[in-house]
Amino acid sequence: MPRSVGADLAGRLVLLALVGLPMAWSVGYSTLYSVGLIGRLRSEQAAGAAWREAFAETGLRRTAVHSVSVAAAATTLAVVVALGVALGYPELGSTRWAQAALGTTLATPPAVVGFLVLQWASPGGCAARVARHAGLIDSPSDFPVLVHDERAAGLIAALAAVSAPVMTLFLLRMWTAARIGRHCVLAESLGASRFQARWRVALPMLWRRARPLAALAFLGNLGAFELPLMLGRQSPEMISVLIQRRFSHFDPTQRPRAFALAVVYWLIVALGLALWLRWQRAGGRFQS
Amino acid sequence: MTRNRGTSPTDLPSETAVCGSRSGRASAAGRAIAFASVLLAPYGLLLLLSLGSGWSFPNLLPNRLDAAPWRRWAMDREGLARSVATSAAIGLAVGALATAVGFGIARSFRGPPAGGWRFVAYLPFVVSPVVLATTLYGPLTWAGLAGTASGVAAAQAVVAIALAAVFFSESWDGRVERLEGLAASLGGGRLAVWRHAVWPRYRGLWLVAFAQTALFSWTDYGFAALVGGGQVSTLTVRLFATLREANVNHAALAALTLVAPAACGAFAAAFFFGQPRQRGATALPASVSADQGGTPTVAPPGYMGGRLSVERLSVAYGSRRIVADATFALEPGRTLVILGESGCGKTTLLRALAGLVPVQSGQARLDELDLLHVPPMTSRVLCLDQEPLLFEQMTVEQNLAFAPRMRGEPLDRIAADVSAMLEALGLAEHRRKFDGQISGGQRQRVAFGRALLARPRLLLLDEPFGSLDTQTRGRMQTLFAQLSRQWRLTAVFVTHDPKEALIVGDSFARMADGRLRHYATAADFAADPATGIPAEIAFWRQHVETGQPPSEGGVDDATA
Repeated sequence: MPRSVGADLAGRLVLLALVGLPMAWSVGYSTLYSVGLIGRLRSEQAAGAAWREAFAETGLRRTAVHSVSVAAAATTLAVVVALGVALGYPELGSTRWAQAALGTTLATPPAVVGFLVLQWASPGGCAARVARHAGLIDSPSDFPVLVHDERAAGLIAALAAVSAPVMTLFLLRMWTAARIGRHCVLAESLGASRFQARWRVALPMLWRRARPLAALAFLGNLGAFELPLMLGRQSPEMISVLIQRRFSHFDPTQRPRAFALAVVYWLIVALGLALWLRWQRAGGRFQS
Repeated sequence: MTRNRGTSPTDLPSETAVCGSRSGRASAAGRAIAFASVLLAPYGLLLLLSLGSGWSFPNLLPNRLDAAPWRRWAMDREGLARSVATSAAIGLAVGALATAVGFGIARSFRGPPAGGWRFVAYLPFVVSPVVLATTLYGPLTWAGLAGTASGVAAAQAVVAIALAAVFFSESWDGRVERLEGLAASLGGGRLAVWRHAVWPRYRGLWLVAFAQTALFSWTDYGFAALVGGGQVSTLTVRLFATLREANVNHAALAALTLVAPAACGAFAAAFFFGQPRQRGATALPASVSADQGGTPTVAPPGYMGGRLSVERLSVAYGSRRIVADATFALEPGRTLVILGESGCGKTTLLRALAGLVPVQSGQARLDELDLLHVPPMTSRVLCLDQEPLLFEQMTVEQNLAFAPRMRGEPLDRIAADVSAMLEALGLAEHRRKFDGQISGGQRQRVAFGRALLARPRLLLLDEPFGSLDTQTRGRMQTLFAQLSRQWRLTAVFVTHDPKEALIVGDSFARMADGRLRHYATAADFAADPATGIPAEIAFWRQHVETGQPPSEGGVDDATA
């Protein structure tokens, strides 16, 4: 059946209208609002005042550093866990119980993960009570603070718990698709030990395939909202939470600042995505 | 039954470990169940919490409630049911819309979008829903959709459509166009084409895309909270609301309700729609051989393969005997060629010698080594088939150097050996290239060279040149014959090509119905009608004499 140019064009137009346009609107609206050209305060504030005020905030730099560190730590943890499972137990990829369990965790909303972490790790939570019953601590309040804490341990663990299942499933699938098991057998036939085969052959092959997904997971963790809202500190806070709090602040002068931050966030993720796509294109020929 | 090394999951990775070992499968299943239990254990806490204080362990679970949990559930049922209905309605609508539109977008691109289109399609994945929802709030208010379920669905649809479009376009294989063309050429209308050609093939993908996008909507909080503005009570919004009220039991109930459909879907997908578990996976640890004429310059290192002795070796799958009482001996530095039709058992014999299938009875010794009870590292038996398997993260020379490095040889000696081998294989100019940057014939040569530098005591070759074109194949056969004699390799070479057998072999056997028949000389082998060589000679003789190809049965007559 011949394909018309119109049909090809229609799909592109639909993508542009339903995805591209809202994205463009989001950036445009944020930019115009932040410079005072639209919005309630458009006649009351000098152009650029919101940007100057937003960047003059002392906590902004800490928020940026905190967001990047938390996202990087969570992504690293998720990658390490996923690589560990895939390298240690590759047979899980063809086992239904494991697939079902991974599918369940994969489909668990971040809000539920946050709730579970709160119940397990908060002061007076399950872990603290179990530790007290086991005689490890005198009272639940002696339990180390893992939620809303300075090191963001609970938040990092929760973000990693959300990212790890998809990475694990992906790597287990890659183990089969890229015939990594056969490469390991071959390496052993060539004289490598089991550890050497995993370390020198399987790990580089898996890591090469995990990198694009890890980069995407990092960007996703950077913009995470529910988990930082539930488990993160008030200050410094993750970038999404900061923007949302500025938006919902009772003081309307905070809104242009929030939009200025939103534009900065937009630019960061857009740049990250562009680099990611460029990187993928460059590395595509090595993928199986 | 003699159990060889291939049956132990601790010796070999999963692909080969599944070959026949019942205990291996059982322990793998045990590990999977343990893994699943660890992953699913936290959900047990949700269940306990949702049951309330009556079901909590005293002082072990936090937030005990004083009221009877069931009564509280009953009081709350209306609110919870409304949230479930709202979330389900939005999820179904978003899933259906995104699947249909996403498929249409992918169809127009006929594969992954390129350039700026790819950027547009991927952008919603990384943008925070908070930013998107807040900026979309204005136009949705103008359209009268802010604070409504339709508004939430519209905002979620932006991300869901991108998700479905990327999913479809990344899995696009171009079959839709071909199926449509085929069905149309057979006289079907557009509806018939879709009903009989497109739908049966793509319904699985559509189901997955629908599940993904509906799940995204079901689990979303950012859009539901910010666009809904507190007016739309989805399950996630309800979860947060109950948490704010410190109503842990109700929050746990909402969380369980959120997870339950996903868990059911995951289990259904894994147990009813998932791929059947792999059994008896094909897994000769591959790699292969050479090519190109010319005299190799690498000096023979005085290396010699082992002496192979096989006695009454039998392999059976269930009650079906694949290899029956195979017996032969192979002196060091000799190549045994086994000729046979597809399915006669010759590959299974190689796999048994490689330790990749369980042996029913018999013995196989390589010098003094019991071949059926030693790990691959110890036996130094290498298997090569028609699909070269290179380590993709290594260059050509790193692939060649792999085995000497594993043996811990000095670096200068490795470098010298690798350089000599590169010269011998005609690959010197490709030494720094990777797997994806060289041709199929070159990959075969790298794999063959790597096998030689591993100093195998036994080389098992399963139709290694089967996938090459005639010219390259001829060069590879010559190179193999030269190098195997120079290096005095002990090899078992399986083929169904009698000409190849005569080029590479020192001794000859033919396999039929699992039984080996040996020939005393190459002349005996060539004279046996079962090898097909006399018929081939007769064919060409008749063709040369008459200028016509022989008619049906003519060759047999001529042979007779």
